[in-house]
Amino acid sequence: MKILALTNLYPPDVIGGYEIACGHIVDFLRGRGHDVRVLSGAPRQPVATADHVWRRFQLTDVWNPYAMGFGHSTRMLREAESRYFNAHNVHVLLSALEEFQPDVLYACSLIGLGGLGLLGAIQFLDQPWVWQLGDAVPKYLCSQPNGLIPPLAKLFGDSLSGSFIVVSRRLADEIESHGIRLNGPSEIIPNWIVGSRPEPRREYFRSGRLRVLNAGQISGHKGIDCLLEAVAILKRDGVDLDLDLFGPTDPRFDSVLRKLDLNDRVRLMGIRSQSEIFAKYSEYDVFAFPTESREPFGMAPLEAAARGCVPIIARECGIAEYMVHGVHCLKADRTPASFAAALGDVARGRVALEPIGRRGEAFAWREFHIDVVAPRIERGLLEAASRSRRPLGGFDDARRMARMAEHLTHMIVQEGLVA
Amino acid sequence: MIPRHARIAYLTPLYFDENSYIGGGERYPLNLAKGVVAASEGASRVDIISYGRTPRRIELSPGVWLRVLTIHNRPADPLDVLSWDLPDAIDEVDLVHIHAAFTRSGEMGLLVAKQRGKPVCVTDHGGSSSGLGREVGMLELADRVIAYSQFGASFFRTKTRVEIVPGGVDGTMFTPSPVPVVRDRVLYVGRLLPHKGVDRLIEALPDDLPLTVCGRPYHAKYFEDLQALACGKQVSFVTDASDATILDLYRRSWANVLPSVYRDRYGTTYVAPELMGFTLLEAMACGTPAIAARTGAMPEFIDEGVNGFVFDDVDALRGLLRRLADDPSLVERMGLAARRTVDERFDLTVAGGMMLAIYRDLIDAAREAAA
Repeated sequence: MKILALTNLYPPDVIGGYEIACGHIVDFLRGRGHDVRVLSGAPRQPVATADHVWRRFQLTDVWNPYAMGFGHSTRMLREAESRYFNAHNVHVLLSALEEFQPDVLYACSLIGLGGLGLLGAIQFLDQPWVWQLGDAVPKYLCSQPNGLIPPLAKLFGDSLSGSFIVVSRRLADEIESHGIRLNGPSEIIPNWIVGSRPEPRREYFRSGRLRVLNAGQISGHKGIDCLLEAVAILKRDGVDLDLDLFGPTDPRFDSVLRKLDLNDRVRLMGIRSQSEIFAKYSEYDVFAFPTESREPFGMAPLEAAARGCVPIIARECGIAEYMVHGVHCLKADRTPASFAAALGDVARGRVALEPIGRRGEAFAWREFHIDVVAPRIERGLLEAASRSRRPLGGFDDARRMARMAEHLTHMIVQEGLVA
Repeated sequence: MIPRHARIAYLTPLYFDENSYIGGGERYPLNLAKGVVAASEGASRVDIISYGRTPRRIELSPGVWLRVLTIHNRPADPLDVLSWDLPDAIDEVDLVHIHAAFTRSGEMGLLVAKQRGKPVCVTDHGGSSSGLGREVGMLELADRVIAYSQFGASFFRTKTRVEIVPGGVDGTMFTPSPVPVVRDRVLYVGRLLPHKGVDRLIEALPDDLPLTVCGRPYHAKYFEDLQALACGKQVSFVTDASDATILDLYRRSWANVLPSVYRDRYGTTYVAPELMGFTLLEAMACGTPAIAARTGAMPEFIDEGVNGFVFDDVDALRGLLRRLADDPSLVERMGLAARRTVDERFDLTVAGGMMLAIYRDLIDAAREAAA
C-alpha cells in the first residue's frame, strides 16, 4: 500500500506527542513493507534529511511566542492560513499526490498548514483518507482565536467525509459536542507505547518516603496548581513526600511554591529528553496526573505505568477510559483535596502499590504496545484505500479553487465575518 | 434520460425587487427562471438565491422561488455579500447558475457549488466587484458559460464552452395594446446612469417632439445634468414608474431609444456598456420599434429597418426620431415586426427552452457520473 502521511511537523522537529506518534506509525508501516511518504512542514530548525520525508509544506508557526507580537490584522491572517486555507500548501499536496499517487492518506495534526483547505482538496479529488485525531484538531480548524464558528463546524461535518481514528471516546465526544460531525467510519484507538518491556519492578518507597513525579507541560491546564495544593495539604497533615516536576515550566510556579512553602518538597527539574524521562519513571513510586478534563489521552501516565510507576490520574481524562481504578491505577477527582487523599493513602501505606504497579505494567505492554495498536490503524488504512473513488474534478480545478478560497478567506477575515 | 424534476438555483447578489435593486442584471434571471419553468411545463423549479438582512422564501410565480439568505459579512460593495446559509441552499438543488459572476458572491457560489459536486453555469451581467475570479480563471471551473449576446460572449477567454441564450423578455407581460392608442412620444426606459447616454438622446431630440425619460436616477450629478439639458425641450422625467406605467409608455411611444455609450459625457469609458439592452426587447414585445446606438450587443437584437434602427451619431438619431414621428404607418409596420421578432427569438419561453436543454444535459451528465 502506498501511504502519504500528512503532518504539520515530523520528528525530530516536534511540538509534542502528536508528531512523535506520527513518526512511530510511519516507521511501523514502513517496517510492514508499505511504501510511505511523509509530507510535512518545513522544519523550524535544521534537521537531517530522509528520502521518505518531504518537508515541503509552508508552516504557519502559530506556536512561536515571537508571533504573538504581530499586529491584530497580521495575526488574524496568520491564523486563517494556519486553520483554513493556504493555497501554497494545497499546491504542495496536489503535487505530491501527482508524484506519489498514494492509495490512501494518513493525516495527523494539520494545525499550521491551512488544514481545512487540505481536507477540502482531498475531498474534491476523492482521495481516501484516515485522520488520526490525537487532539481536537477539527475544532481548531473550525474556530477563530476567540472561539468556534458554528456554521463552519456544521459545514465541516456536511462536507468532509473520511475515516477517523480517535484516541479516546472523550475526545470524540468533545469534538462532536461542538457540532462537528465526524462524517465517516470512526474508531476509538488509544495511543501507544514503544520500546522493550523492562524487568518487572518490585521495589517501592526506596528512599523511605513516597516519591512522586509529573512530566510534561508544567502548567495550570495540566493541573499543576491542583497538585501543589494537594502536596501543601499533605504537608500540613504531616505526610512526607517528594514531588519532582519535569518539563517546560510556567515561571509563575516559583512564586506558587514559595507561597505554599513547598520548596522543601517540590523540585522543578526542567526539560529532559524523552529517554531520560523514561529512565526516571522507575525511580518514582507514583505519577500524579491531575490534568484538565479535556485531556484527549495522556501518554505520560501510560508510559509511567509501563515502568511500574503507579499513575494517580484525574477521573475525567482520556487515559482514564482505559485504566481501571485500583487495578491499573488510582483515580481521583481533579481537586486538591481528592488528590491529597489519594496521595496520602499511598504515603500512609493504606494502598499497596506493588500489585497495582505490576498489573499496570502488564496492562500497558499487553494492550498499548505499538505492535498491538498499530495493526488496527493499518487495517483502517487498508479499508479506506479499498473503497471506490469518484472525484468531483481534476487537479487544476483543485488548484484554482484553493487560490480562490485563500483570497476569499483573507477578504472575509478583513471584513470581520471571521474576526 | 431527461430529469423530470430538476431543481435549479440562480445565485445573484441582488434581486429584482424594491428591497434590492431594479436593473436588467436582476430582471434577466427572474425572467429566465420563469422561462425555464414554463419550458419544462412545470417540472422544473428555480430558486433565485439572493441576500438580505432578513431571510425569507416566497414563490414569485409558479415554480419560481425567491430565497433570501441572511447576509453575514460586512462588504464595502453590495455585490460582495456572503452568507453561511449558502451551502445548505446549494445542497437542495441539482444545478447552480451563477449570475453576476465577477463578484465575491459569485466567486463564493462557484466555490461552494464545485465543492458540493453541482454542475455550474455562469453568466456575467456586467457588474463586477472582484478581480479575483478573472485572475484565477474561475470560468475554467464552470461547466458552461452563458452569454446573452455575441458581444457578451466575445469577452470570455476560457476553454469552457460558451453558449449564447439571447432575450428572455416576458411576452405575456409586455404586449401590444389591445385597443388602439395614440403614439405621441419618444421614450427612454432604463436606469439613469452616465453610460446610458441619455444626454445624447436629449441633445438629438427635435424641439417639437416630446420625450419621456423613465428610470431611476442612480447618479445625482448625471441626473442634474440631464435636467439642465432638457430645459427648453419637451422632456419629462418619470423616476418612480410602476410596471403598468412602463407598459403604457412603451405602447404609446413611436420608439424606445437606448443611446448607450462606450465613453460617457464625463470621459469615463466602458468596455461592455450593454450586454443586451433589455428594455429594447420589452418595447419590441409591446409592438414598439427599437432604436439603439451601435454600442455593445444592441445591434444584434435589431433588424435594421425591419423592427428598429441602429444609429451612429446624434444627427442620425435626430433624423430617425423625426422620421418615425412623422410616419405612423412605419411605426405600426415596424412594431408588428418587432413583436414577431420577440415571439420567435427573444421571448422568455424561447430563452427558457434553450436554457433548460443546457441544464438537462449537465444534470444528466452529473447524475451519470455519480451513478
